[in-house]
Amino acid sequence: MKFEKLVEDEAFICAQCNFCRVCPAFKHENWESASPRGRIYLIKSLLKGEIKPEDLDDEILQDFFKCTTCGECEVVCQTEIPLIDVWEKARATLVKEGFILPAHKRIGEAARKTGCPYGEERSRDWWLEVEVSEKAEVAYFAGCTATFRTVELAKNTVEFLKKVGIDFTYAKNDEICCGSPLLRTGQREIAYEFFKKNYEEWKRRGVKKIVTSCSGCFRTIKRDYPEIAKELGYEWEFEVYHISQLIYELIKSGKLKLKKLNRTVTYHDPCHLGRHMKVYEEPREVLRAVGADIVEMEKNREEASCCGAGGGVKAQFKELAMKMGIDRIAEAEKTGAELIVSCCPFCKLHLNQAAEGKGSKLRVIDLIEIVNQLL
Amino acid sequence: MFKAPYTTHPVRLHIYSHDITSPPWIFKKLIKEADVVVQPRNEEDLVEILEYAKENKMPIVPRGAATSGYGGAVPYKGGIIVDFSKMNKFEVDEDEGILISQPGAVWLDVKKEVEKKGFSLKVYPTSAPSSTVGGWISQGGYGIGSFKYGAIWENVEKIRVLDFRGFRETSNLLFYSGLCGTTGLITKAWVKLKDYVEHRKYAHNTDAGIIMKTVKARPPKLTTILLYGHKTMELKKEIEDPSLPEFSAAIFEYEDPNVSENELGEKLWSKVFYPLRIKRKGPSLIVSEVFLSYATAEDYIYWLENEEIPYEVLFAKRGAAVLAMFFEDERKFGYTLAWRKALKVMRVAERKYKAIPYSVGMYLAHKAKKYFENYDELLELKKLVDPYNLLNPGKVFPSALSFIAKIANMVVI
Repeated sequence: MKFEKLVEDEAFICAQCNFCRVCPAFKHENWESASPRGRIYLIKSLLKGEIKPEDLDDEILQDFFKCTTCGECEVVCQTEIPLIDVWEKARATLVKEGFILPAHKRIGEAARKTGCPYGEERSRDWWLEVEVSEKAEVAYFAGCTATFRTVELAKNTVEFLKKVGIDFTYAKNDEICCGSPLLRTGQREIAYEFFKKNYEEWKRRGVKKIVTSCSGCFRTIKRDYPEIAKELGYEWEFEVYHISQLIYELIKSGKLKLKKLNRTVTYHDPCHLGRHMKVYEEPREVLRAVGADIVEMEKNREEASCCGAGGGVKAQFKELAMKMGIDRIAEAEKTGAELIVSCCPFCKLHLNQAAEGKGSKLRVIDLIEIVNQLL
Repeated sequence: MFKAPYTTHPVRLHIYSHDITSPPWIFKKLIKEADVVVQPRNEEDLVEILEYAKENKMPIVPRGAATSGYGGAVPYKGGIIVDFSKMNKFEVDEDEGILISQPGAVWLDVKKEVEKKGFSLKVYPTSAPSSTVGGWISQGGYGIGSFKYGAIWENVEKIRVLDFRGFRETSNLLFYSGLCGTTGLITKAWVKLKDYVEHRKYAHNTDAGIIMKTVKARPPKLTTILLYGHKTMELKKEIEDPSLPEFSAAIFEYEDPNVSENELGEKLWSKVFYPLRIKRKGPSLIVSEVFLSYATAEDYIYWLENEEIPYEVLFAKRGAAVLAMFFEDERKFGYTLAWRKALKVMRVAERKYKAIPYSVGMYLAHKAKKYFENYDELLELKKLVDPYNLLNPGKVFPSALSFIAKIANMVVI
């Protein structure tokens, strides 16, 4: 089997040292075929012809995809392999060769049909209760999860932008999935179509800056889109911000004064905001600015454990995703915090389900909800 | 087959049938893959595995994290790979200052926990983020702390071992450490600890001759000396950190909170678990690793410097462990030639500088007689505890493969 050059080169660089045993999914699995080291060895064996594509049965394929692409392996990698990119590119090759898991296929089909991986046919602005500009330099990108699953994030973001007087546009039903779940599960072609649609919509609306409240959308638009644009021959000149960065900038410049939050909180770093994009301090600075008492979990910032939902794991391996979510809740409980604060609708959705599953009283609240309430 | 979790999936067997080395094709052709991988959860599971092996005359290959490069965890004759990852519990006997650990516990996890309880490890391997307690004892060797405290076997009070005669507890580590499980499987280890002390690191430009003065002076609180040759430092600068100097440098670790640290010390120490980062230069890395007495270590290190071969030296209590590195691409023809170079350097070390291999495992089993001073006694024990030669065959005690390795050695050099 032929993989992209990056995947091939890095597979041979791997020292097989197993420092990547930290993988939060592998902790719940028996065999190294579900570990980063095992996956890399499998890729290398496919390249060398020691393993044939026909040897990849369901069991092995499932092990290969039991990965949230959280990037914890990348942080500890002895030979500095860009493992997140390796997993995504390797998945894309496998999908191209017809190796796709059923739930991922369903996500792709739903997205192709409705523009949303959840297969939602409701209008994307069903929650919107305020007027927004048709055209503006700033665009709010809500994303699918905040639009259809944790709508309080979208509502609070829009209210916040209004309150601080930022003139912004929102594409409503002309917004389409950013493509994150498709890129993470190897279905790149659909994501490319979505890129084109979003790109054209932003151009039509005169957008220069894109703000999103979703870490997955932020990672995709800020990191993947410029690469896709280059590949497709589009000019990329948008500035992209996560809402936590915008809030932090407003506080720092003295333009935003917030009431105090007298609570003890712990902050969960979403993988897509933290390890993927290195945004660790801004959300914490905002929490400090509102006087929150932050107690860190043992694993925080670049070592933070994944919530368990990403990379198509929640869709295909519900039980595994729940176990990982429960691990993170247990870690949060140890801090004695009253609340978990995070910056991602998908983390919020999944960790709250995990907390319920564990019987924990802890709940996750998004930073934008806190900030909007304190404004 | 077993009560413990096991797999016979051919792809999984393939994934388990190697260690960190990528041997040349000729060797690979001679190595089989495992027939089954099993993950014992306790000693009862291990007894069942041994009974099954005896009944079916199947080899048993113990596996910690498979982070060694000597083939000790490779199933040369196929058989049962015993993956100890589920036997990873450990506790600290705080009254005695002893770590009591199952074989699959990972050194870094152990280190964190013993420190929480007010103790420090005397020695631990540079592969601590993944290597296991049982794996390191079985493989043998030196690590952080070895300048003061010696090899791992010197820091283990006793071990509990299972062989075909049953369980035994023994303090005679010389019959087990470095033996890769050929004389019995370690099921528990009692490792000596020291009271917690803050360790300080200091690094500077130096060379083997200057370090030898420190070795002779033996400052009582100096626990670790790690020397990087100038070619290694060049690679570290290129791949790891452009702010590093190009000259040869050494880190000195002291169990003394009053020692002043410096920037170079902090930088080099921050990567102390990452000696293979420079493998990016390869992408493949072949090593030639030997142990020398202090009578000849200095001359061999200077020889490597003059030959412009990248190397690292870990100064231990009674000698130096020297790792020479060769970079190649295993996808290219030159890969076999790089192995030849590595073997040549080992031969120079052995013949001219009286070195012994750092370890023997599978690839260097033909050198076991030279490596183990008590080889004849080991052979006696082997016959006694493993009459069917099922405990990790092909490792340490010569086999058809080691005969081929010996011939290959003679032919290629």
